[in-house]
Amino acid sequence: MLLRSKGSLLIAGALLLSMASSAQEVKFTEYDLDNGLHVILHQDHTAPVVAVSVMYHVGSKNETPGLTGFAHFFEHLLFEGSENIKRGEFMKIVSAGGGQNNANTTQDRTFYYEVFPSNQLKLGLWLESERMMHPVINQIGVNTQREVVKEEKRMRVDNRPYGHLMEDVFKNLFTKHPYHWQTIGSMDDINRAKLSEFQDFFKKFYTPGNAVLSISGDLNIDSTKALISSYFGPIANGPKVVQPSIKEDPITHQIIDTAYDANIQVPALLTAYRTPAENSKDAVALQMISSILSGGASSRLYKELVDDKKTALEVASFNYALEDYGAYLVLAIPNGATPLDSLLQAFDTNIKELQTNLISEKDYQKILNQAEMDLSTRAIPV
Amino acid sequence: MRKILFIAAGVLFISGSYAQNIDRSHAPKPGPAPVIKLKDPVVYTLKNGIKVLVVENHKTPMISASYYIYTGPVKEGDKAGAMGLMGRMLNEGTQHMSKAQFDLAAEQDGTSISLNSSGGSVAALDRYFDKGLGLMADALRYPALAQSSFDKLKTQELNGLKISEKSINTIASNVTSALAYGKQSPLGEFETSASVNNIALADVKDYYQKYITPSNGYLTIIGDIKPEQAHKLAEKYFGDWTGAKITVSQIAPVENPATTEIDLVDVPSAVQSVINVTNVISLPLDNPDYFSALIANQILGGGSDAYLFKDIREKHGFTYGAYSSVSGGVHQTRFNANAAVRNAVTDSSVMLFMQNIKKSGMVKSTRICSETPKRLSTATLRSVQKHRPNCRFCQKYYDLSPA
Repeated sequence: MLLRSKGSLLIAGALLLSMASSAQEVKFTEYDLDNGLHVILHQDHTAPVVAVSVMYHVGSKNETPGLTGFAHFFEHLLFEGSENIKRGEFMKIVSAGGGQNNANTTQDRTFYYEVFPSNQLKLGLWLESERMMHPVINQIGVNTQREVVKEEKRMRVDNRPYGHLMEDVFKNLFTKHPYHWQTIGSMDDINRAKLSEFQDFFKKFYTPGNAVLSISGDLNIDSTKALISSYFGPIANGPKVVQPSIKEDPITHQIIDTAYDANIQVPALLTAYRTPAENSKDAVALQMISSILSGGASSRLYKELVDDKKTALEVASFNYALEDYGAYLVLAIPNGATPLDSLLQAFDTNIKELQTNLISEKDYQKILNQAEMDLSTRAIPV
Repeated sequence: MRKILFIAAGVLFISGSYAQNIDRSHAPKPGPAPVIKLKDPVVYTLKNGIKVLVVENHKTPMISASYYIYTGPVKEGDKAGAMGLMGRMLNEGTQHMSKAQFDLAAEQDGTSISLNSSGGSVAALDRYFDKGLGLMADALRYPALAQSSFDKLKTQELNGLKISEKSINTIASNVTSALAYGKQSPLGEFETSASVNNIALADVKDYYQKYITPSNGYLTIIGDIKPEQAHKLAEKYFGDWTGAKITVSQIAPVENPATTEIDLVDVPSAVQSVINVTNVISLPLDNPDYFSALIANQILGGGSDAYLFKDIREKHGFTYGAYSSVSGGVHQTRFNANAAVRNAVTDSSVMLFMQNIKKSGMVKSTRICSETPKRLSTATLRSVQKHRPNCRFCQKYYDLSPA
């Protein structure tokens, strides 16, 4: 991420869309430019604003060992300017145009966006097409952003209570696949990254054929299409990007690990399972299982551990779904001197119950209501 | 002939969405400014004084409501944390339903309800809103306030304090307010394990009687609902509620230190220092300098195009982000500039903060004029029109005509 963010990470993804789509339909226009750029347009006149975004199919799983953190580091460099935007001008142009912008990187993709008053649609298209066509990446930018990224890691990971939790889980769940390391990377690797490598990375991954331009808001579909051809049409496509295809061997025995954190006083217990990819049917089922286990105070684990037995301060479970695999996590923070074993037993008993018995019709209706509510809530902003 | 016309029209249509030559060398000019249409809420006042505000939004089949009680800052003294605990106790079941029954009644419908020390909120699908609002009202009006729930929450609170004990953000936030306002002020006091240990159920009940009441109450209902219907529901669940009258207490203003003071807290486990540069300000919304202060802050530390970010992050690479904030209000507030920086550059960063603050104080008005957008945000514009219709500063630099 380039800037601080006010919201929290929304893990419940687009999966729920499919569950309640009969009740609420999202209309969109979808097509490809000749250079391979995939375009998605959505019209919504509720407020006179427009969101312009580009998602590139590149993330930390496209990195090579020894250069972890590279995709995210690169995201920072794409705010340094272009052939027509001087260094330091990008942010100024956005704020002077009344807009906001940011970007973020995951294991699988990198996402850039601007939100502008709708009369500035062209400005958004110009900024994103400049970024895709001919960004300027130089040594001074690399040197500065290297330090900024290291501060980001210190702030968001190293100095945060339980900040290393995901790192410890993923390095155990994955041994061959690049999900083995975290998107932020390691300090050593961030220190090692060189200017020439960034230039190569751009050529390899930042091609129109490896990107999706999506625009939603107060816009006219036909005139927006014409503007898109003008701004993005002239960008040449590059060679086809080959995504890694790495199969993990099955996990055949339980792995137990203990990790230490100087920022905490109270331990956390976490169990993790390697799960199927995010676009599988199982990923949707796992999402529903999270509702049953820990979605709200009436959920099974929360009610049992936090309210009835009072052995946990907090309990959570969710499917961390990614493109190639997922990780299903169940975690709890003990209340007082509760032995961690007793929490683990409760996790296992509840999972066994789900494996053995069907959920009731009433529970199923509850999940559907929650999914419909979730969709309604998220459909309100542009 | 007709066929040819069709083909010609088809060609025209296609070329209509074809690429035009554009000038890439400069940022494109904006189109005509869009019109922002915001409808005023429909307002009702119940007999007990509760103001009901209704905003229709029919985009999705859901309705949300919040009840907010303006209590003003409440001094808790050696029982800091008691108001917070009282708020959490409202989520622990009612005189009509156990906590488990209450939670299930809401969550079965996909409804979410949460209560706190200044009211609560509910969000539900249309078909469950009536029931959801009723549940929220039950929690506010008839909470169980049971000893067993209190014991559970108090233990959780004490353990929760341990979790954030080494968080430099929590430490910095507590210490900064205490230094700025003094620990005697409700704005400067903070929760500790000692203060939580002092709290008894009787304190919670006492705060409940004093502060959870129709007095100074605002019920806001937003969503897929007609104002008359919302009014009817408000009457049904809140109309016959009675309670204590709230008097917002006066807080004696505090003075800033005569000279700049540096206060350090050593946290050996930290890999960064959190820096707060702060002072106490008195800035009610009708202060002639109110909007000047907001704009000056925008230039100093309002975002990624402001002095602090450009200097401390983009020039020196000392931090992930450096920002500043200023706000106005009935009571004193704080100006605060903040960044988390690596330990080795803590002193250099403090210097940069001071230099930039100094620099922003010397900004000439022409610079403000050329560097900030000519239109204020809608919320700010409405606020200017309401509170400062004759603000000369605003008129000089901004287009104040209704958008």
